[in-house]
Amino acid sequence: MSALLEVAGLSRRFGGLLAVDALGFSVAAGEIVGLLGPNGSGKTTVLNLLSGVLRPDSGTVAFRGHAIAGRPAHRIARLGMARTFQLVRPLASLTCRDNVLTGLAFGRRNAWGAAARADADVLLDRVGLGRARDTLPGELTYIDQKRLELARALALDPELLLLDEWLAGLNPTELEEGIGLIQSLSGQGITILLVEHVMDAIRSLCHRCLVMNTGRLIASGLPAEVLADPEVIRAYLGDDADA
Amino acid sequence: MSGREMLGIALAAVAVAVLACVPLMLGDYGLSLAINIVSYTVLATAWSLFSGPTRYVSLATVAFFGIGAYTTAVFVESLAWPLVLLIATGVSVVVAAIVGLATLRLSGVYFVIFSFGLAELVRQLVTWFEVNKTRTLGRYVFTDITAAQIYWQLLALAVLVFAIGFWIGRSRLGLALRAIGDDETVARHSGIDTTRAKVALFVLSTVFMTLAGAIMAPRWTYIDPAIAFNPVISFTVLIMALLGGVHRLYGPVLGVVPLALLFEYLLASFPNHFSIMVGLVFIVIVYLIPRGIAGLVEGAVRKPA
Repeated sequence: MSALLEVAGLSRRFGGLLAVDALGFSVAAGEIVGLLGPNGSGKTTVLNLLSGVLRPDSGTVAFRGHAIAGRPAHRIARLGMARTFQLVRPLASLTCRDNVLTGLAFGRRNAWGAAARADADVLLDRVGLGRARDTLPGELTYIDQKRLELARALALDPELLLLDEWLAGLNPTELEEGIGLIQSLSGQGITILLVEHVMDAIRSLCHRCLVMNTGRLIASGLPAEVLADPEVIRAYLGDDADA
Repeated sequence: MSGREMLGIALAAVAVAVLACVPLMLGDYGLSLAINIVSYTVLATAWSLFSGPTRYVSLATVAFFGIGAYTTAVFVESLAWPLVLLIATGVSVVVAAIVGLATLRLSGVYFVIFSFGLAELVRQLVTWFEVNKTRTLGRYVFTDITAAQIYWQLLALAVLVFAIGFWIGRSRLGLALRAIGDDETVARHSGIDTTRAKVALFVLSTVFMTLAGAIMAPRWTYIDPAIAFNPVISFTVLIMALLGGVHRLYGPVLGVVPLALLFEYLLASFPNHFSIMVGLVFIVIVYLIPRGIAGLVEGAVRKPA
């Protein structure tokens, strides 16, 4: 099976800090891959490098066979890579429907008019926001804003979805719903790369996990294996001597 | 198109028909006031076409207004009038595209400062050219274009700017610009080519400013860089648009009419303290009506329910 996403030698430096250090990994179509690591290990930077917020200093990223490293974000989005943000970023002056319309109008669907509005409503129903179509994001709860952001990402008709701690801050019921939603997206054929700290979610969702520490990949494999890996435990909890 | 929009268009058509008769009803003073109001309506509406949704506050209005005025001054005697307007459009498209590509990656306060500097730069360039090459600082604008004709041209331009604004509001470009105004990073991740959208609208908005300047130039009979590139015009347009409200297409005109009348009164009554008065008006508007008159009206309509 050829890889949907192929990353090699990816590096990015912020001043004296090497935030991402010669990172290489690949994601096959249909996988749910977890990107783990302690705070500050470079996970969000990796998502920013993939989605075009940041330019890599070196390295290559191939997405669907296109070399996308350093390309502008809107081009990467139109190729079918969508993302959510760690801290939700809804478009505050647009209704929920218009938030979703942005992805439909400028992404791969290239939809506009009544048909696009109908599609937007379907997506809002899908994430459980059908009742809030004409509401402004500011009136939504935090959880619903996260749903909105997911609907907006789905509007791009993505092949690869990058979720940056999308499940963080949910209560147990919402978490169960959220996991179900991600599973159903995967069932639809969307490949998912998720940065996550919620271990229950990682165990039940991820086919494979990548673990980063100080910008480098320190482990990769099945969730149960990597979570038991001594180096991963050391990265999260420190050495025995420190404890 | 909804019934409400049809009604709006019908009302607008009636209003334009009535306004077109103004030169036949008013004397010279009334007509000059009307020209002033329509000219600022074009400028303020064109300004908020770009600055309203994107929130890029531009002080470059007079750079383009002045380019238009100078195009008229240079070519009006030798070329047919439509050709003069065409040249003005062409020059402003080129200048705005270069400026837009170079600066619209800047954000917030940097863009404000740059746009202000641009107007000053253009003025100094024109001054330098006139002094060193043509060896004269002022130019006379001799034409047989009458005040009524200027008024009608400006009115047509105003109709055009409203029509285009209406179209943009319903188009993808309008959605793209509102998204950019909210969060540019998110807009890019939604597939929006933010640079292209911003430059396209910046160019469009400046074409109207340039044409307004080109059409207005015969009003002065004599222009020099200090008149054509007077920065007060940029600030006036900004205050008018903010007073009216930049979130609605009809907003700026609500600010233009009262302020044009007020400034006329202040200029006649307190010619020596005019700038101070304008400054005070600016402060009062920004502090007391940040969402403009359009915002106040909408708030009042919504609240009682």
